[in-house]
Amino acid sequence: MKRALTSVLALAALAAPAAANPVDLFGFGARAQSMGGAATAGTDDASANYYNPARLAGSDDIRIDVGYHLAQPLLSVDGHGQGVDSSRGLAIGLAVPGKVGAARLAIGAGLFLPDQQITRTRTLPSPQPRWSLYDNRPQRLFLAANLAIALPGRLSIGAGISYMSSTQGDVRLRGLVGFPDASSSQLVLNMDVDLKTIRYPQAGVSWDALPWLTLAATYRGGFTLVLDQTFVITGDIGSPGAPPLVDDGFLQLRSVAQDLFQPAQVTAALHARVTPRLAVGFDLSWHRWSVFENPAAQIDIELDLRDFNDLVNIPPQDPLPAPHFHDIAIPRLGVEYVLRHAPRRTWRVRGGYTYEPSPAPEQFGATNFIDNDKHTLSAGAGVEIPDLGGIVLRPVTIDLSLVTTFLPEREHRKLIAVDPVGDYRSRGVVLAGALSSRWRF
Amino acid sequence: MRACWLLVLASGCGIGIADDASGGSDDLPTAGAGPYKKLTADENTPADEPWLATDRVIDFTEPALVARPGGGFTFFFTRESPDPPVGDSEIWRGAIADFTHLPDEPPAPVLVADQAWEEGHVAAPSIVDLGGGHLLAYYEGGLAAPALGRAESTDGGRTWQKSPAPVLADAALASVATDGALWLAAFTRPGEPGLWLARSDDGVAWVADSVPILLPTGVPDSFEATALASPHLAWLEESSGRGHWALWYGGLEELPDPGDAPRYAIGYAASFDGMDWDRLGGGRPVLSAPAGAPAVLVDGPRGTLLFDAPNGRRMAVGVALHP
Repeated sequence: MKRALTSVLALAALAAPAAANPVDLFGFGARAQSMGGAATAGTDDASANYYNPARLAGSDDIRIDVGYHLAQPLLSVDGHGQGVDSSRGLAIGLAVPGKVGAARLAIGAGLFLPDQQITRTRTLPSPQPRWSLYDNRPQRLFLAANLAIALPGRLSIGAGISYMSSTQGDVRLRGLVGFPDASSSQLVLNMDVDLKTIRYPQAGVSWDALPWLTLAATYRGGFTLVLDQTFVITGDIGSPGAPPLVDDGFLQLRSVAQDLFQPAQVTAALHARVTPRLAVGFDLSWHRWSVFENPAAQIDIELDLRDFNDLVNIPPQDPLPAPHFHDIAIPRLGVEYVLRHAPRRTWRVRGGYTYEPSPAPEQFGATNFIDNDKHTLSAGAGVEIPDLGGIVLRPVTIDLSLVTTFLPEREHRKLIAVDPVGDYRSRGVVLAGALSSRWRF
Repeated sequence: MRACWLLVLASGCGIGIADDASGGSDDLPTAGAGPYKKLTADENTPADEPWLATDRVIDFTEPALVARPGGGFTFFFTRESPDPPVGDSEIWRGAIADFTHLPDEPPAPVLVADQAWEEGHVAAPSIVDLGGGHLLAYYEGGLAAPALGRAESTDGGRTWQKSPAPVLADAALASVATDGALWLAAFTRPGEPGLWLARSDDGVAWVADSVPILLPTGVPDSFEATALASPHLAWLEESSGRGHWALWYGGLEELPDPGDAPRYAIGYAASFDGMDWDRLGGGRPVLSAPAGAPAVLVDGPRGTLLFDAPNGRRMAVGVALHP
């Protein structure tokens, strides 16, 4: 066990700042989603790969969860919809229990595979309005690997890492830049783009304090995904066959932008089985948004046009204004009720509520990071089928969730009349749903 | 078999629906300040982008623009022949559904100089849209001592009834707007630098400020270092319920060589109260030279700007859009 613990801690220590994902926004697995995401202490399926790795150790079965998630933001500013992308894809989770000596442990993996874009990258000018939490964030692949160990005293711990990629790329052009006829250019293109692996840690603890009460806590690392692109042209400027106007000129444009940000998150939670039929879950999460930086690109231009340098004046870029986001606390409440317990079918109904205050301040200055408070109502149902026959001898569960997030209207009044964006009101609704199946072997 | 069917049911949605284009940038909020981009030429449209009105021998300048009831735009501009007498000019009107098409009401004269004080010169129309086809026109008249004339139309600008005398003396290239209570006129004064304001309670009786609201910056390399001209003033109500005065204007970096046309670029300033004005930050124009005499119509998340600029040897009226 000591070796296993060492392995987990070593994995966590490797983690570096990384990237966010749609799971943060919309949840993982239909059961947890329908309970408002209040699953840190109560998750009992492969969604523990996201909510609390420690909960992987709670079963003797091999569990495979397969489902599909769909979320459609309907967000508008001044009554005009912005066409914010939907997020949808396959959610797959795996939990495999085992033993090392006397210690019970489990390994698990979680994957959200979008079926539109594996990842989406875009950098916008600093003042351009954007729904800062819905713009790029839901367009991500999420991959997590975890290890959990059951300890004496009804205690279990788990930890793991989630993976993302950061983009670094160079585009280099070398040759002759045609002038005045640009079409006479003779340039050779050389591209060098790296998708570098980024890892961030997650860890959790779960304690069955009483037969009917589980307490839990988790930590999820924050990260910043940087988009670093360099564009270089080296060569002569002029007409083919003629002496060049500029001999061996040089232009380099480097753009460094924060493409994605995930705040560090700490959650404390409980799951109470109030009666044999009724369970209640409660999560309280703290998200460290105060370190969020302006995601617009920092542009650095170097230019050497030899005798023509005096004719070119590239003004220095103005400093990017700070976004002044603040930390937030998110309460989540979920209930689950066993509606009917019968030999052939067990039906459950679920509901939940989440309040997520916006980390973004009123946008009265030069930035326009649009975000609103969020009230999320969720509902769902599940059926457990004890025996399908064939190779499936253990119960199979089908869960469905439907979620509506309301973003009540928020007004942004600018301090100065000359602001190019002006005052605006933002509001919206996000509709989401998931269908999951859980297979035990 | 049943297990396989359930597995397919649970996961089969993930085969992927039709791909979408990346979104999130539709109809973003804007105050219409800019930047503006001139329409690019398109051989597949009947229009001569970016030009709305252009001719080989006639100058078309100083446009004005209002929304046409039922859709499209009604536009006005100064039509001036380069032939003597100098300053002999008319105000023309046209209407268009879409700037990529030809005007469905071709430009034709609607205001000509027929008052003694106008000295054969009417120009620089500024149109206030009172709704239902009821328009007010403020225009420049007179050559030796330019003044601000006023006319009224109840048929969308096809015919006009002039006020017999100018409403504001010593004013050229004026633009008028109202917030429903206060009327402001931005104008230039012959022989004096900068942009000036006059105020009115009814749009008829005006009192001019004693100092200009904006002066040339005098900063080297600034697009508005040397002169300001041709203001366009608008009152824009915002979704928060308040509003602001928006002012687009032509800025001149340096005086042209004799015989050359000045190369204006278009700048922007704004004020909540009409008293304190701020220029757009960054010292950059919202429409690059050559473009002057702006006329702007902001409609929700979009802005349309008409400008005048040289097209060959003559001045023409062009179109630029934001965003």
